[in-house]
Amino acid sequence: METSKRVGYVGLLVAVGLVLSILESFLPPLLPLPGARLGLANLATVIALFFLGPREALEVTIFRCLLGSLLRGSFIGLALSLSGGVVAWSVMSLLYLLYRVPFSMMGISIAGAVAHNSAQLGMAMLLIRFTGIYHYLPYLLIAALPTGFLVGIIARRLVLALEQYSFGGLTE
Amino acid sequence: MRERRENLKREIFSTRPFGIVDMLLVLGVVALSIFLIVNVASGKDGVAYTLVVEANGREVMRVPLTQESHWYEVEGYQGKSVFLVENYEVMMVDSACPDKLCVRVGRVRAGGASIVCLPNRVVLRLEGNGFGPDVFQR
Repeated sequence: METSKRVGYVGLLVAVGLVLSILESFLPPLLPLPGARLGLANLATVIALFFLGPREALEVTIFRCLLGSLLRGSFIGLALSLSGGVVAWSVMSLLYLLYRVPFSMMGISIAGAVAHNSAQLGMAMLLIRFTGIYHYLPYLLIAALPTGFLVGIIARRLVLALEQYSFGGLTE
Repeated sequence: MRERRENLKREIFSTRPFGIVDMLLVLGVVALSIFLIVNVASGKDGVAYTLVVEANGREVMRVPLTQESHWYEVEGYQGKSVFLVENYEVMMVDSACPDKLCVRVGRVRAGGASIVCLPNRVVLRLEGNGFGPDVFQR
């Protein structure tokens, strides 16, 4: 893919991620902490990972978190979303590159959501220096399952559509 | 690039998109959560005796849980947090944080439970024997 196209797609996915994280902020928070989110914005990362590749997925994640926290204006939000986003990216990229392991897109996305929520909790523990909030971990893990599955299914359809739009589709 | 397309093809044309490995992953996460809930997060319905107040990462006061009402103030990172101890429960009444999530938590009474206000860096933690139901089960 040419550079201009690649840059265009990265920008598009950053925008998608930003809109999703704003929509997500209307939902009730999982943790009684600002900036801790369900991880629907991970959709942009998953699409970038499968449609463009791990490097582009990292770019999308970092830009989404930076711009998102500029919009919301909180440093704690930046630390939480960046830690969640980057850890989720590492786990998903690892599973993606080990594609011989037969995870589906939903499986990879669920693993990413679990990593995302755990990393956010870990970062929150570091920031507030209070370990008691690890009580939330099991609830966060369970919440990651439907989120990850949903993100995986949507990403699957969208990547197929993008593929058709830009390369004329996949042929068997 | 070529390999990426191959991966995508396999993913999109596979007849069973949600495979056994995915199921194992889900089951693993569920098992871990149940293990954590049973072993850490719940247990006995603990009785709380003392409220430990932390601000900016340091313990600033310890107050007994009483039946009669007592109002307290603590200086946090962004300003004052006001909490009320009453009927062996504690609740955050007002806080200098922008989102007031700590106020929305409401009343908390069991040992091990807590109210955390991250923007104002204030933690109200109930100490007692064992862990009780968390604020999650409000």
